[in-house]
Amino acid sequence: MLQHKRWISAALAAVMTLSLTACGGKTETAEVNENGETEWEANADIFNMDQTEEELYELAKQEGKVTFYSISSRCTKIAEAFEAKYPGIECESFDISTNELLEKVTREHEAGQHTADVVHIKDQDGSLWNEYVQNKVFYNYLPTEIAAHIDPVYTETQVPLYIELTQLFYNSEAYPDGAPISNIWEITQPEWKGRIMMQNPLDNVSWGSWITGFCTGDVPDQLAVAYKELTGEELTLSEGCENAGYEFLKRLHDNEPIFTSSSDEIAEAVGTKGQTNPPIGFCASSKLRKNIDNDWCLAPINLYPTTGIPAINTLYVVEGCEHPNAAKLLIRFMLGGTDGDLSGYEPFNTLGGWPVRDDIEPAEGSTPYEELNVSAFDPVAIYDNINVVRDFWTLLG
Amino acid sequence: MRTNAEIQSYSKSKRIKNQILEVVTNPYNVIVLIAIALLTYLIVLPLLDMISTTFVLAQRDARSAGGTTGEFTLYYWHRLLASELTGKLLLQPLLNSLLIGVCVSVLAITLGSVLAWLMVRTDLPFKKFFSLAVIIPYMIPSWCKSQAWLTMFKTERIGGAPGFLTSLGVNVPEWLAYGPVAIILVLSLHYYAYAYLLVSAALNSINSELEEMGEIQGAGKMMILRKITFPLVLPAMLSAVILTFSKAIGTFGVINYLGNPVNFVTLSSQLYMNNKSQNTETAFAMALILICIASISVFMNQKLIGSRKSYATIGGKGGRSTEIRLGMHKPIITIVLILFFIVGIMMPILLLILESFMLREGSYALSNFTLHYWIGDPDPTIMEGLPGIFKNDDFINALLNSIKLTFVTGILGTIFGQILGYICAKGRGKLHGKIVEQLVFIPYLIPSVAFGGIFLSMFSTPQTIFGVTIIPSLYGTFALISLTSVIKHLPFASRAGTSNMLQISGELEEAASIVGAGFFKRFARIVFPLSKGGFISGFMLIFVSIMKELDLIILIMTPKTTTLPYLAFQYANGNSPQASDCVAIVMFSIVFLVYAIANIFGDADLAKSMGG
Repeated sequence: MLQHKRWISAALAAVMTLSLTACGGKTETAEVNENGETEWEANADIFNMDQTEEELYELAKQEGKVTFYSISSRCTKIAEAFEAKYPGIECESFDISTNELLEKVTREHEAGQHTADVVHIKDQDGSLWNEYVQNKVFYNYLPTEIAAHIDPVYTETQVPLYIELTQLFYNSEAYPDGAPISNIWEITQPEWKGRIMMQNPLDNVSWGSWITGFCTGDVPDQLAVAYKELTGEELTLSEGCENAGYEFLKRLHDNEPIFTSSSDEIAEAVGTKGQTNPPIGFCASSKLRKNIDNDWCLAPINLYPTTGIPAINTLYVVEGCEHPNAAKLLIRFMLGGTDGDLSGYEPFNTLGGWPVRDDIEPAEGSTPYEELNVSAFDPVAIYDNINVVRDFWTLLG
Repeated sequence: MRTNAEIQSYSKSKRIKNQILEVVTNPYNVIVLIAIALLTYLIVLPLLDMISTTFVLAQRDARSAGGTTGEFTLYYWHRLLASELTGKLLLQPLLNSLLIGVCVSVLAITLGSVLAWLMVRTDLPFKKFFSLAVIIPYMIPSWCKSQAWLTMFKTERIGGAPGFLTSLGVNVPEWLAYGPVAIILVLSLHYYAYAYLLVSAALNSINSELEEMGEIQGAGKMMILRKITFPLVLPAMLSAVILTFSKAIGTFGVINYLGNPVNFVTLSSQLYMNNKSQNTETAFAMALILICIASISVFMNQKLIGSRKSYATIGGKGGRSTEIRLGMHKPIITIVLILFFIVGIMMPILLLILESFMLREGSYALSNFTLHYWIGDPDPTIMEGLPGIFKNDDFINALLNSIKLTFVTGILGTIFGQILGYICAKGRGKLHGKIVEQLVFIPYLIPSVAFGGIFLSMFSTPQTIFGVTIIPSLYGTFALISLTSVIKHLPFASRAGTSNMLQISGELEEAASIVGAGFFKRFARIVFPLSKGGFISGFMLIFVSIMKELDLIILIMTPKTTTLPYLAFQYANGNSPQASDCVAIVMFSIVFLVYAIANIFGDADLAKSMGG
């Protein structure tokens, strides 16, 4: 019997040793040519922003295929439109949520499986800039001709596709005279206790980034000013609150917002007609689209001084991908191209999403983006502070 | 001349040699060794990967932890176990998790066992119908039940259309609508299936002579139940406890849905929130804590089972089964059951079906009903121009993939599970049995996405040992999806296998062994046929679970190997919940059909093999 046990433990030990060696890290430093480019970078000509669509199409036809991972279900439409415009190139799309997309593409890249050529995602917490672009896993490809039509504020760290927001909504049937509030501090007042709906900020990276946006940059100062304008008093910071942003979050938390597990639930809770005392709620601006489909009466509030940071949809080329030219062509196509044909952008041009290009009109019925109070998105500040703010919120209870 | 010592050492080494020879030539031992090696490779390796992740500093935390990216750190464990965050991040959620785990286990096991006993041992009317219906709750996705719960009990607190009871003017208390009570009830209604399937398989194999003997001795019904029936199904019940408890502390969807409105957080929901906030290290550390808790429950089970002599009910003698008469309680029990089925089973399904026919959500006007989401042609104003599911090629593709995956995984998983169950049962109380039992259980509590991710990394490159390729790269293959699903679901199959194998008396195998039957012959001709009941319950548990599986395989899927749950997710993501419901209904129908077939033929087979 004893021998028996020994056998087993010996076998176990052997297998474990094997597995440990298999785990061992493999760090490879890529070789670079005289321009400081890796082989892939040179072959893909990834830093060349001046190729025309015709040139790219010729090169892409030789590649024959392009695959993109997207956080939007609209990706299948894009793929169809792309194949229609550029026959000879098969376009495959895969719709997957943010977290899984990053996990999948990272692991595939590490394993040398270069399946995805293009990634459509949102850089909400700055990790795409700080971890992917800086570490050369993803590449920003923004053709010069298109860049000319986009405010450089948006293109420093990313290739923006369109902008979404986390907006506060109210029920326009219950408040026919317009938004019941306008100053963001009003939601911390007793009148709205237990009547504000949102997702738990700890739930995911998108909400985490959004609350972090209030605590960084010049937003805290704006919040302090807005507080004084509303109440006539200086804002006093509670213990543990570094600035007006943290104070705002603390007071919002103390006002017992109701959490749900999805943006859809919030839109439904706020927008359903026939309610006597409907709540107000924060949710993705894109939910506005469902107003007609579901006969809701959601209306957005343009909060003063800010409605928070934007969620910018971004596009990347994946390092090592096998179809770089088709990838570049697809990105141009999705960005709206340069020939006036917008079929690659159109599926994204809906209520609650705003184009970044000055030569593309937003969807009918949209509030012009310039009129909205939106804070600037700083990927470094958000990235550095998101876990600090998450921990702050966790400690609130 | 040899000295005494020499003779002694010679005989000792010879003895060792013989013993080794005996160990290696015995097929049972070889199987045990292979099983342990494979499990170590497929389960311990991912676990080590997770453990090491929690000790490596991530780029995003480098600033707050004050180190450099990629270096060894205790930051995550310190933060979790001994910082000011510990209370909110770990202790409170952990207490909530245990509360849910214990309450759900007690309720679900009680409910499942009582139902199993009623279906198998008594003269309950409409048994065929009931035994088909009783398993349905497990087949419906749990979010569907949470949704039904809210439709019923929703209060004004979360706005929107009022709940059914509220609209009738009933003042629903908030503690019932949201939070722990709601979660416990909904989860119990979901997980009683484990106890039901395992206990009814065990009861099926009990020879009612044992109970009759008690009756002859003058024991009352309760006494027989307590002293004879109950001890014999104890292993099955304890297996169910482990499955239920672990699942209840590891689940996330229902807790998120019903707990969020009152800010009720468990360790599993903390885990998922951290995972979705890209704090993988913290999430893994939490998963490891959950694995430890489950491991303790398996250990306690081993102690409990190990201290008893035998549970063998399938002996060399023929058995038969006499139904126990319920007498005057019969009508009452029947009515209670029917009510239970209407409220707990029909409600969520009807709600789902109803919604799939509604052009717009939440509008019950007759003009709002349509077949569009089922068979409609593309219409640019609905569903972003997608056709109804039966006209969509993606649906057909996903349907075929799902069917293939569930059958392949269900059958392979069950066979492995039975073999592992055999090892656990025969090795009861021995080290190798305990090791296998613990190993098999680990995947259960590794979060699905993480497990899928680790397997994706492991098998995307060829696996080599000393330069020899053992497994080629499985990236993008169906084999990888199946492998991942089988390993992740081994706990189901092996639990079903263990409780089953514990009941098969050793005397049967001994008898065969005496007449010269080898190990494989014994397994194929005696053990396997006798374990059909457990085989079928194990198969059903895996089959149903894989049909609903998305998180586990989403990272491994390619656009060509998508399955039905992926399609359901895609529709929901694209603002077409109705089409998503349609897919869910198709999934449910397949599972139900397979269960009905297994139930009808399984019963027939079982009765024949036990008929003696």
